[in-house]
Amino acid sequence: MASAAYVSGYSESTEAAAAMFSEYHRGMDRLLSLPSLGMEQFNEDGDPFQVHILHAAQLKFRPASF
Amino acid sequence: MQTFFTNFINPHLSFSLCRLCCSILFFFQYCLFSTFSQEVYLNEDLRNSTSKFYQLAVKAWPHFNYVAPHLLNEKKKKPKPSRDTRIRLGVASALFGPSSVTADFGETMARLSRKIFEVIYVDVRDSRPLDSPYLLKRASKGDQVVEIKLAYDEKDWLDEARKSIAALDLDILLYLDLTMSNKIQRLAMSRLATVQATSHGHPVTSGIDKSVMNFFVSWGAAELPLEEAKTHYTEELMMLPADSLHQYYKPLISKSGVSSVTGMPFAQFDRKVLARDFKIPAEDNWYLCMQKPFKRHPLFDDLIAGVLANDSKGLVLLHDLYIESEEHREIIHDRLVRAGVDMNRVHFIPTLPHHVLMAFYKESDVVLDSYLAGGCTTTREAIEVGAAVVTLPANYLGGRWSLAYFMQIGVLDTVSIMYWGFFSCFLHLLDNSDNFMK
Repeated sequence: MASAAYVSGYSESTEAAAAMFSEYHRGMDRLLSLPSLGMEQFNEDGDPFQVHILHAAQLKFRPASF
Repeated sequence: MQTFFTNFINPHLSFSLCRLCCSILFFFQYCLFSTFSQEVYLNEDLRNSTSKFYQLAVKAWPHFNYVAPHLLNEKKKKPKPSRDTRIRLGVASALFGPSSVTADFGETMARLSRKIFEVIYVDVRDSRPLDSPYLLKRASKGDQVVEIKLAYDEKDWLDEARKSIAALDLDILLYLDLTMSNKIQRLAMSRLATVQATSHGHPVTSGIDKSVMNFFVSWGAAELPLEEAKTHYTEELMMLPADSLHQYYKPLISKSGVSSVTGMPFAQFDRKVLARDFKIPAEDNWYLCMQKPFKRHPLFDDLIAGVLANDSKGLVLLHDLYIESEEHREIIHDRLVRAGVDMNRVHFIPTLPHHVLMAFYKESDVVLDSYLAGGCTTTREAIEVGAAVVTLPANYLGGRWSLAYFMQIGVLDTVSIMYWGFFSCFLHLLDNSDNFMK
């Protein structure tokens, strides 16, 4: 997933923008469903929300055009 | 999660992500993908997503939930004898500018009757390095300005900000924009005044629970009918009347054709000069879209392709990236090619000084509103110089400003009600350009 997908104007396609938004929702739903939020939620390999955070950080530091 | 991000703000920790981000004091926005970005997803359920954002924020950082002590027993509260009978209105923003927020709200707030309202500006200092000329002027006119200063420790900052605002004992706290500063976004999760409201400085619902952020103040002309529009907001939707402008509008162009932003005239930038300076064929039809590129949803690519397919003499002029990114440049290029756009007929224009931008509006054959997120200030400016703006309204407020302005001036020739109607608007414009400009 390209970091650019965080903003629909830089998404690779309409479908990619929609997929990004869905992924964002899935991450939030998952975290909202947990009884508590602790550091362990971020240590699972492949956790989409962890990937999300890493990409967001990279997006800021690259810097991107947004 | 709270621990995780608390660790982030400790610069002595050596956690890898911490090293990556150690210059940033607080990671609220990285965790939650600031709601600012959601503005451009105007074909999604934004109320749902911003609401989840809020719920997750207060779950991860419970201290964002806060009610000022003086509001805890409101029913028992007695009026303070020292207070006059005016409504004490706090106007909060991190963008007192100069910015689009002061351009939109500045004159309106300045013109509220001081016999009815005691207006107190709450200046949340975020990234603005200098004093706000607007606030300096308001202070010179007798309004109180309370500055919420930056602090190294974000928790201290939030505590201090809450105390300062609660001490004002406001009847109403109005946030002009909630998503363009993450400081404001966090502050707004607190209940600090009897009534709290936000407005369209950034035209997206806050997602904050209605018990905290009570109202969203919008403009009827730019919203769908109330029953449908209110489903876009977590707040109760209050709409300013649709039959008049929602703000005190101060033209940005003088009658003599001088930009009030740069103080420069633009008449000298005629089509020949612009064509020469920006290497654009002067004789073709110019379709200009100077909305920032992040507002151009991929759906807009098909509209651009359609414009060029329907006008063999058409050239599309798009705002270039304003921060260079090879990745984004490649994505934008590839997207347009996939949509069938001949890239020889697309020109990218850099960010322009205001008077040159006005010249481009004036000299272009058609100005395109971006889609899904459309223009507001930009549309007003284009109308000011007599440009023909074609717009395709989206469902949300952020994609309906242009429609609202055209409704005010009673010109709907350039408003497309269907996706593919976009092109017939252009053809109609080009065929009737003389009549339209009148």
